[in-house]
Amino acid sequence: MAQAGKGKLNFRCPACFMRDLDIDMFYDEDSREYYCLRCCYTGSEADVQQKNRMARFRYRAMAKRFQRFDTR
Amino acid sequence: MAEFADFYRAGHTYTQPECALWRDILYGSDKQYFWHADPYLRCCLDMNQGGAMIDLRPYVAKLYWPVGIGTPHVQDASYPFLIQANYRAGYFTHYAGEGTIRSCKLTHKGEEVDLCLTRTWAHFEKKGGTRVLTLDPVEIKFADLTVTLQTEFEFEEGSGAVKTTRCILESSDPAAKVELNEYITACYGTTEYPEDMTSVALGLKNGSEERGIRYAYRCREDEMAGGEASALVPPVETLVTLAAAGEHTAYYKEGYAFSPMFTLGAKSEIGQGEEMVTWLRLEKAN
Repeated sequence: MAQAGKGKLNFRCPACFMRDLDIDMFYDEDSREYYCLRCCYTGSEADVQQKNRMARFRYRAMAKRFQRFDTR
Repeated sequence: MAEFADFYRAGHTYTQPECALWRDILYGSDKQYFWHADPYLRCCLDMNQGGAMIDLRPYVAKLYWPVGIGTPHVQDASYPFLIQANYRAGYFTHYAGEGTIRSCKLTHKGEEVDLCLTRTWAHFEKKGGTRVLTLDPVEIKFADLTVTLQTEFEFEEGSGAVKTTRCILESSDPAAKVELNEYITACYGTTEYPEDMTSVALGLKNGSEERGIRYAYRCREDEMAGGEASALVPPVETLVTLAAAGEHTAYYKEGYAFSPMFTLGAKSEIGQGEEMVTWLRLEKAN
């Protein structure tokens, strides 16, 4: 198999990012998967996108617009 | 533990290493690490990065490093590393500087590919007093050339050195030459924070001359035909040397504030059926 490279987008590892580690992944064209150099995460682009969506569970107020900063 | 100690001593010699070829059995990644620990060094090779060395600790220095309450190291009981790709970056960094790792870059007509980008699989065997790790061949694709390269690591018992052999098994152009740049980018420390590097001395030595510099974060480089490149690291009482067989150019690179490591390397050109052999050696220096 040929050497890996960067995919079309620079994806962070979703497993590492869940613990606030900012690790960019590389893309293995032969296996058609992104993989992390630090942890054992591997996944297709669709899986990476899905895990990134899941990781946003913390951001419950993501769609809320805050008008005031001195009252609730 | 006393019984285990008796059992262990009865069956093991002082220089006998402990090796472990680990594979991922939980996450489904096909990742493999090879750990090797002997009285001289401990290292970890990552097959997911072409066999790159991602951890290196100089046991040969036999550092006096008391830990615990009442010592200078109250909560950090780590033995210092020279390479730690997770704490001190590695192949991939967020910035232009380099992280700690031992790998090899292949260059052909200006195109460069690091073996850290090749995922492979390792096989272990013992040949007499030498432990041998043979990696499955990997394919390197340049714009107009494709080569198949195989790596073999040898750990000779009692040597304090790691021998690396890279061989080009096949080439789409048998007459083409590829430059192999075997390198180690290292520093010292126990955490993700840089240490003071100003006592480190980088040097080049061949049969006829010897020269070097004291580390001053100035990104200086030097190279020499033949010979070996070395780094004296006084805080961990270790001399790191990278030597190569055959015709080659030895070099060192000083770092700077945002990449406070040093790089030692050896470059050589090989073609189909040829190989490059290098040794990474650790010695006590005080």
